[in-house]
Formats: sequence, structure tokens, C-alpha cells
Amino acid sequence: MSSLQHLISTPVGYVVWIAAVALVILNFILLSVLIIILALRKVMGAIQSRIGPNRVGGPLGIGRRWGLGQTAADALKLFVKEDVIPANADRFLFWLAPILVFIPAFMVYVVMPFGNGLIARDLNVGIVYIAAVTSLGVLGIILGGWASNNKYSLIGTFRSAAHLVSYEVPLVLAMLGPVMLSGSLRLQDIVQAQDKLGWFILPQAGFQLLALIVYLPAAMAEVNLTPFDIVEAESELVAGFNTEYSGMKFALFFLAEFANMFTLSAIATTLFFGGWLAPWPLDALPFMKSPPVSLLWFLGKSTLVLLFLMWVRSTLPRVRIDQLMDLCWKFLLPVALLNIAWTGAYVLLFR
Amino acid sequence: MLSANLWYNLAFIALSAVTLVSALMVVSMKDMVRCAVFLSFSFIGVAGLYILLHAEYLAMIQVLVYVGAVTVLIIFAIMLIPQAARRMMTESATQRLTGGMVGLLVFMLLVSVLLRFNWSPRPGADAQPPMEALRTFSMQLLSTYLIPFEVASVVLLVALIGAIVLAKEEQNAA
Repeated sequence: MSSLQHLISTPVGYVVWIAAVALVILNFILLSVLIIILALRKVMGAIQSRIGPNRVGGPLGIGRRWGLGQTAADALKLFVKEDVIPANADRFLFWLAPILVFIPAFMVYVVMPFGNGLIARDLNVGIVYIAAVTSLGVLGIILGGWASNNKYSLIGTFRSAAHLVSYEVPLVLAMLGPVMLSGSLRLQDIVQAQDKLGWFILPQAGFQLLALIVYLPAAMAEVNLTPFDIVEAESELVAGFNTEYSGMKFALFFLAEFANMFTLSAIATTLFFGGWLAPWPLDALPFMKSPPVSLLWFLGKSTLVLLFLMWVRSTLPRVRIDQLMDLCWKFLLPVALLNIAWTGAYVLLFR
Repeated sequence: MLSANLWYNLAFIALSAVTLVSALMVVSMKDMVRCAVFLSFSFIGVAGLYILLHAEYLAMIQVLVYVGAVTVLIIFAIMLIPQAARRMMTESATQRLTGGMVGLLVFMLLVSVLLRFNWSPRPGADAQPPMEALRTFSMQLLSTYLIPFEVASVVLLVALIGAIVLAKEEQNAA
């Protein structure tokens, strides 16, 4: 470890170190998005009594029945597609928007507590950092829709401006419950606190069920998952804010969306389900806190949350925009405030 | 700690450049939406400077509020302006003059403050920032500065109610 620290202390080593961490995170995002897209299509297919992708296999035709190579083929197709820019588009903003959407989706992973000691940078304002950085993505969505100079894109943009900004409020308030219980904004501290007290979703550790009830719909709205995907409602708006996008620019939007999906599941895991900690009877085993095993627990729990989101996505119909706003301001916001009051009372009375 | 200083200086130069160049773009661009985009870049640059000053929490709130909400609302408002008016932004000679005067006055004010301020560290303060600055900050906010804090929240509440009342009246009139 000391040789590594020595390496980081030199200017060149520091740059190399940062580049290496960024590369690992980028590869993780690409790989997880590849898997999530295929899983989403298969899971949605199964739930809706369809088959889903079943033609393209991996190398040597492995897994053709499960469509293992489908996402890779789709990604390749997007790479070689013509990059169309509408004649009346604002070319600079049209080019800038996908970048502004992707960079925040990538930056969030800097503070993601993947396992015991597996975190790129454990910021002391970790959870606020996540809220701040995810709020940057809205800007890219709005600019992309506006720069396209297309009425469907513009309607999608108007909707997103109203809905993404509104849903940020209950989302952040829901995150406050676990923060109050652990007394820290640092993500590894939140996980460590759950090691001592128990997972925050459990009755004996603070019972953040209300927070979870607020967090999940708000998170789904933030990443435009189907019951709340009025930003790109296919049946009304063609494809919403990214109607005019094609090729790699579209791929960047798509990538960011799925990366955000994993991000929000991972944050739900960290805040409510004990992060990289093993569940109750197993957590006494010493090797459960070693980096690789804790990483597996983290990924496993996040996948379960993700599967739940996919289940909701393929079951419920899309809401109307007025219903969406009502849900946010008249249900989620009061419940989130109630949860903060409950958590405060809990910390005062039962600690 | 030569390398730490080097990185600090490089980061400071880069962030200042982002802030100043974006700020220049805000006032020189013709298209208002682009102005708003560069305004958000300028805000991000300032947030970076806050991080260099070990005010991480302030930096995050700066991004969350100014980029995530204020700029988005500015762009939202600009999109409701007719396109012709938005793309052909011109200003008259008097507007330029008054704008320049106000800019000059603010600049002079800032310079006079900068020249008067005593930049040497105060005797009691230690050179290193406190490790848990955020905790200290929160404690101060809810004890020593409780009344200003509450007054600020009441002001915000008044603004909120005022906005609702104004919107309601317009709805009734229409």
C-alpha cells in the first residue's frame, strides 16, 4: 500500500491513478448497462408473456436462446449509424446536451460505496454530492430537447423541466431519514452505522419504510421509468426530448439513463438495505466484510432493487402529467416530511 | 508537499478560467439560452472554488440550487419568449452605458473591499480547516445563529405564499 501511496504522491502517478480509477468506473458502467438492458428486455418479456431477445448469441453463438449478444449488437449498430443533426437545430447545444447528461451519470459513481474500502472517494458530503450531481442531468435533457427544434422534443422538455425539478424535492427529503439516523453524510459512515444499528429499513433500526415509499417513486421519476416517463411518452411524443437524436449521441442519452437506473438502486441499497453488509445471520462471519464479498452483496442487493423497479415498470400504465404532479406535491412531499418528523422523534426517544 | 501545492494552483487556475470565461460568454452571447448555459458553467466553476476553500457542503448546495434549479428555471422561462425576440437580443446605447456604469461601480466596490481586507490569518484561527467543518457549521446554525436562520426560512415562506397568491389571481382573471 505504501508504494501505491508513494506513486500517488508524484504528479505523474496522480494523473495515472485518477485515469485508472476513471477507467475502472467507466468500464463498470458500460458493462452494467449492457447487462441491465438485456435483463430489462428479458424480464419485461417474461412479465408480459413475451419472449424478448432470442436470436443473437455471444461469441461462438453462446446463449443464443437468451439473446446474450443482443445489446452488444445494438450498441454496435448505434456506433455505425449516421449522426443526423436537424437543419434548424442549435448545433452547439445539440452537441453539448448528450455530454451534459452523461457526465453527471458518470460522476455519481465517484462516491458509490461498492464494498468495504471500495470507494473512489469517500466525500464527507457524499449524499449531498449525489443529489447535486444528479440534478445536473436535467440541464442536458432540457437543452437537448430545446436544441432539436422539434415540437415533440420541446413538449418533452417542458414536461421534464416541471417534473424532474419537482421530484428532486421528495427524493432529497427521503434521503434525509437515513442521514439523520447515522448522523453523517458520508456514504461509508451510513453503511457502518447500519452495521451497528441494523439496516435502516428494519423496525429496530429506525424503520425507514416511509422514506423508502417516497424514495422509490421519486427515483423512478428521476430516471424516467415507465409509470413516470411522461418526458418521453412514446405514444404521445414519439420519443420525447431525444426524438431528433441518433447514433452515438442517442447512445449517450441511453447509457446515462441506464447508468442512473443502477445508481438509484445502489443508493436505495446503501440507505435502506445496509449497503455492502451481509444480511443478519451471515454478517457474523468474518470474511463477509472482505472487499470482494462485500462487493458481491452490494451488487446483489442493488440488482434486487433494480428487478423491483423493472417489475413496476412492466406492470403499471403511464400516469398523466397532472396525476404526476399531484403524486409529488400532495402525497410524496407530505409523507417525506412526516418521515423526517418520525425519524427525529425516533432518535430522541429510542436512542 | 510541493505536488499538493502544484495541484492546488493548477486547479485554482483552471476553475478561475472556467468561471471567468463562462461569465464573459454570458454577457457576450447573442442567444439567451446559450447565455443561460454558460451561466451554469460559471456557477459550477464557483462551486469548484468553494471546494478549494474546503467548503464542500457550500459547493454542493451551489450546484444543487444554482445549476440544478435556478438555471433550469431561467431556461424554462426563456423558452416561453418568442423566438425572434430571443435570438435577436440587442441593447440600446443608453442600456449599454447604464450596464457599463453599474458594472464599473460593483467592480470598484469589490476592489475597495479587497484592498481593505486584512488577509493575514487571524491570531486565534489555526491554519488547517476543521476536519468536521460541516458538523460545526450545523451546530452553529442551530444554536448561535438560530434566529437569523429561522428569519430566513420565514422570508422564503413568505415568498412561496406570495408566488402562489400571484399565480391564483392570474388564473382567476383569465
